[in-house]
Amino acid sequence: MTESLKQTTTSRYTTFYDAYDRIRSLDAPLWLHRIRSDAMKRFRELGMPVARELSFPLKEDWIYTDLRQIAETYYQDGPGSPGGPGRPVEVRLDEDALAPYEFGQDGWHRIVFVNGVHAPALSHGPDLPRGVVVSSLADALVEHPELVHPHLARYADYESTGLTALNTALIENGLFIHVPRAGALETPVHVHYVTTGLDAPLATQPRTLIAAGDGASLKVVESYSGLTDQVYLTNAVTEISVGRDGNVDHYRINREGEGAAHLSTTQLHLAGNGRISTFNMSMGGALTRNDTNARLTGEHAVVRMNGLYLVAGDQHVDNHTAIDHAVPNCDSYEVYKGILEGRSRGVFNGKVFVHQDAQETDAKQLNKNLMLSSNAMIHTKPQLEIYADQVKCTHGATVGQLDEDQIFYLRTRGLSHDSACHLLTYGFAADLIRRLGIEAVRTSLDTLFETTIRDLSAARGRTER
Amino acid sequence: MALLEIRNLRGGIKDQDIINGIDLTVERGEVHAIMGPNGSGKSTLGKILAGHEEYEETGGTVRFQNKDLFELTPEERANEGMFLAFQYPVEIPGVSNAYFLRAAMNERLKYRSEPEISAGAFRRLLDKKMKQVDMDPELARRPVNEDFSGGEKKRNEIFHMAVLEPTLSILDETDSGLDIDAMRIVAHGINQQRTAENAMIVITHYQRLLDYVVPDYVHVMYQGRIVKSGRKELAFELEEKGYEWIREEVEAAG
Repeated sequence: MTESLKQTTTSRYTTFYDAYDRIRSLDAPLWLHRIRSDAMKRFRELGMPVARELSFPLKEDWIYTDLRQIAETYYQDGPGSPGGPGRPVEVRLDEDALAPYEFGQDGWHRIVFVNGVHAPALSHGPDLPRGVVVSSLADALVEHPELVHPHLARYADYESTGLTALNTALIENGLFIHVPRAGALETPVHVHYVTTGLDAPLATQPRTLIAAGDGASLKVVESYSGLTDQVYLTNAVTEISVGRDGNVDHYRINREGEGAAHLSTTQLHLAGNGRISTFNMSMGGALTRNDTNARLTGEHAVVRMNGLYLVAGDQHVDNHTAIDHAVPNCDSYEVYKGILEGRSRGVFNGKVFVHQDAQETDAKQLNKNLMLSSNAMIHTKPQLEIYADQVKCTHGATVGQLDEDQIFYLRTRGLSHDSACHLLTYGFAADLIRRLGIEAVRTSLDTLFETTIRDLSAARGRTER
Repeated sequence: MALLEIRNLRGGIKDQDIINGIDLTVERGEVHAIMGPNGSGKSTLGKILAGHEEYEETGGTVRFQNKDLFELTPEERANEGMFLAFQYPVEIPGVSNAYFLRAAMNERLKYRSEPEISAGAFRRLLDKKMKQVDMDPELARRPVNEDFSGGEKKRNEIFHMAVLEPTLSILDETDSGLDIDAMRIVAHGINQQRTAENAMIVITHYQRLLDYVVPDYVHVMYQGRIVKSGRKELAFELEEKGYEWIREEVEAAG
């Protein structure tokens, strides 16, 4: 590496290095110090995936999504204040400010983070069943380090992934859920990561850790909302581990602000007979990159990995998924649907690895894209690597436009051209939403989605006129 | 004024006329059957009347409810009371029949400056209409035509017609692909809709539907024209003699 390049890269990530120094000075268990310092070391080596740079040969996974602009933005450290590290700025939000972004129902467990800082005043919920912990990660590290230690940073790979390394080095806060063996948390948990406008671009590193023991079950909605259209960065990592016969329902909703970059890794770890359903909805942000990975480590585990992306204008959304069938007799079902309007760009890359021992694997994958504009673009790539011979694996990808015959059919029943397009767009995605497990989530997502495409259709109507 | 007045209509697809001068007058309370061999332009007529964008009129006039039909968009024609039952009904994944019909109903009410229908009133209307046309309630909940059998799709068209209560229905080969039992049910559904206030144009290749839906008039189309018109007996004659006879007659007339 040349001296000048080193110089640029050093100043480039200064904000993160400063944040690391601040966090390192806080009280934490020794094991966590070690994880952070290992991760920081790796981040210094790996950096962010930036195209066309000598020190970081372009990885295939990052062909279509270039983080150079993010890497070159000087961010303000999340919980640190502009006046220097170590002094959290608390932005006080009232319930009304959150109302348009609220999700689910009254009576759910709710835990809110504002600009990376836990907001206890906005967090509440009913009494918890015995042994169940729902709290901020920072509180859990003080009150139940023995529950956090076996899981934190055990699943999400910070050895080879720069963004996970960065998040891990800067682990400070986020949601923690622990449901012990045979426990059940019936009431869903909604964790809400909110970013408000600050005077300089803000970077947060939300860290979510969810551990369901053997036979345990829980439901969780993780949402990201931006109350500002300023530039900011969310680099989130979520780890979910489900024990034998456990069951986790997970929903992830991205409603970031217009100027936001949303980078995320969701790492799912399933023991034998374990079940995880995850649904990923991306609507917000200028740039979104989600890496959703599942590792099936015990027989008869089942993962359902679904997603919906709805982008317009100059938005860019990239979903990379990887499902690792390490043992026999596991099933994975994956459907990702995209709706692209304006000059938006979409990327879908779905990897399924079936290892040599993973006989009797049943893996199905489908990616469907609806292009509402001739200027939008999608890169879709299913990638199946199968080393076992007794398996059922299928995949498919489609890219299409609204069908003229369908539009005409609806018009002959009295729907206007716009209403017909709106209904067809809604139907394209409703098909997926309809199958979601929790009724309250289904209804909320349905409403949210319908409103969003209605706004989108209205905006299109305006630009066309 | 007649409900529908077609005068010397010409038109077709991509600069090629398929309809070569049609005259037809339909009054309220009437059922007109349009028969003819394949390729005679029967379905094209239906598509031009409903306003399919790929089809274009190149001459003549059509007045519907005393309005110039070609000044109206497909949805305006629908909201004025026209209904086209498709030969091949289209699947709309993700949108339930009931949801879609309520949207269609409300567009119509809006067009007529009437208030939207309430959820309860719509539910009651749907129940009534399902009974009327012998529709499985399960099919009303399912996405429009998705994974429906051929017969179910045709029945669904008649169900849509029953709910929307059009003044002029154009049924494009509604009998095609139906076995005799399915056809009886569909025909029963159609007959349930006949009133003194509305009218129907039944496009069909075969006479057998007309055993159940008895027309007031039968027209035979050939090479884009109505070459013969008569009462329902004409349908029996066609069934007996086939279309070859018409062909010979037309060619003999030169």
